[in-house]
Amino acid sequence: MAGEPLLALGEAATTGRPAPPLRLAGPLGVLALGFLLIPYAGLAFTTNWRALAPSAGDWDAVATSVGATLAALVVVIAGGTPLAWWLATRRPRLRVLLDALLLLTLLTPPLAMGLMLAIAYGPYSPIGRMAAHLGLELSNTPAAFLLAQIYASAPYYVLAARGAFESVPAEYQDIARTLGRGPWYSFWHVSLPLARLGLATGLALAWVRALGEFGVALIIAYFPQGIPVRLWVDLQDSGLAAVYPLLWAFFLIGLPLPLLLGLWARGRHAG
Amino acid sequence: MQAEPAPAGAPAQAHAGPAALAVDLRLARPVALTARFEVRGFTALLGATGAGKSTLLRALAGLLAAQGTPFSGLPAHRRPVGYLPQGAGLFPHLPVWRNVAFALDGSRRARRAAAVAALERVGLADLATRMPDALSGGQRQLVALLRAQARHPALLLLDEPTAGLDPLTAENVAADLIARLRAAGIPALAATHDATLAAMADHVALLHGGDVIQEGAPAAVFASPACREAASLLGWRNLFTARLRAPDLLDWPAAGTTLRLAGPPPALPGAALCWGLPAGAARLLPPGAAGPRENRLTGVVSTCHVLSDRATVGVAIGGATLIATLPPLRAPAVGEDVGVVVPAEAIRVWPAAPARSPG
Repeated sequence: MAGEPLLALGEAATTGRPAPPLRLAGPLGVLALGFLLIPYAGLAFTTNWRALAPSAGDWDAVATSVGATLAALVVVIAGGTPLAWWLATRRPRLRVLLDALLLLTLLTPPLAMGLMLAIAYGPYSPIGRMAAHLGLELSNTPAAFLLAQIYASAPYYVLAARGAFESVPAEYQDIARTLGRGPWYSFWHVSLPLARLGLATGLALAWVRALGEFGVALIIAYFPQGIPVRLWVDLQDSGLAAVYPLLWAFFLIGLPLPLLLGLWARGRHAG
Repeated sequence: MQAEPAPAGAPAQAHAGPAALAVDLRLARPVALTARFEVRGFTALLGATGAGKSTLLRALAGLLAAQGTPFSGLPAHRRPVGYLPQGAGLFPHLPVWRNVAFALDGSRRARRAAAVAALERVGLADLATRMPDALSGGQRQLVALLRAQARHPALLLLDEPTAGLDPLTAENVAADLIARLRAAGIPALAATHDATLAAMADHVALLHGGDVIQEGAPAAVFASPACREAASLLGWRNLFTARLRAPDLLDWPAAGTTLRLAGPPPALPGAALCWGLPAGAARLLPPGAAGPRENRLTGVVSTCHVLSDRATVGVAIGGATLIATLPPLRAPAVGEDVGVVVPAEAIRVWPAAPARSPG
């Protein structure tokens, strides 16, 4: 672990040893990390590897979750990137209000969001009726599941992307313009690459949020069952022993994208 | 000796040199500015921090809305200008060659070949694949220059090209930059607060209070600042308030003494004035030494900084401090009594009020 900066900070000039309070930081940190890792150790040690066979319903849940999450991310990127860019580059007088509204969507508890989606998009709402008229049911359908994932993940992506765009000095846009490049070219070749670390972080967060969304989906998209709802059903029907296969699948699907994005962003950083 | 205040927006005294590009810009925001001057070869726009130099450059680049010429009405990406912000502004995520090739069109291979060829001409081909943060300040400046040159600009805008460099490096970087621009025949406007850079330029424009208060060849401008503010921008440190007692007699109340003036009277007796003296013009003498008696004052050495090529001496005369520069070997000690001769012909006098009202 990163013990070096702490050591350097607390180094007593005469002895070259860390000052007493800082000498405890290392052991305390190890303890805290160990505490946080207890659930993972529990999962690893109690898994019966020979009987780790997912059921047919589990595979359906995986397919549903991955498909819908990918689709949700496309929507979130397509809509969230311009919004984040607009929030980062304009200085509207309504900025505080816009920020508050964005935070509201982020801070709303998932269960509350699910209930509000049912109110806004459910079969008895004007939007729900209009959608149903066009042949699109927004309750317990793939479209409803997608909707739940978008609402659950978009605020995370937009906030991270806004921060990323804000951290790109406006000066570079100006220079690109004086070099004969229009706004679109400088967005693609200057702003986007300079913001990629933050954008990758936002994308990773959105992926994990959308994939893991339970509270929103439970209310408006109990069907089709994604991984979280299916895990809940497995637990209810068959007990804790039945969740292992899907739980491991959850990890295997959830982690690679954030890790790859992180590696990609950092790797590109070096040129 | 008497310097007349510059008439409002007066064109420069014609002097030999490159063809002029006339600038006539008006801005309301973020700083109110009226700038009428000429760019001749390497032109220094000398102004204090916050005077609006960067604003003026950004307006010329089309990055800020302004009325006037040149390039009126053209959006930034259509203007034939190169813009080098403070610190050169290389794109940090692109290697050197892609920075140089940023404005070029064509295949990646062709752009790379063109960029490397440009880097070769200035001896930086080895740096083509380096990232900008691995470059020295001078190298960055040069790469930014190549990047801007790719568009064959009719005017190059440099914002504080020597800021952040130590004085010796700054002088070398500036000399190199000016030589390259002269060789390439590109007119340039460099915003700076550094009088040394201004002295190296082909032409100088002084920006103060939202106006260009004086312009001309550096030698002429440095010799005859048009007003107190101009003198201050040019690095004059001996600037004092005074009152004209008689056509050729100046009361210097801070020092409690009177100075004789040479030449025609600068104003009517009783006028509030400002006078200045180049630091190199004051002569220091031992207290009882022989020498001129006119404008001979006595004072006490209050500060003395000795450098390898000169000494800068502060002499307290009454309540005022006069700065004199002299050869280092003749530097007096702090606390020593000295005689100071202020040559009448070296004194510059201006009206006490600024020549032009700000804004």
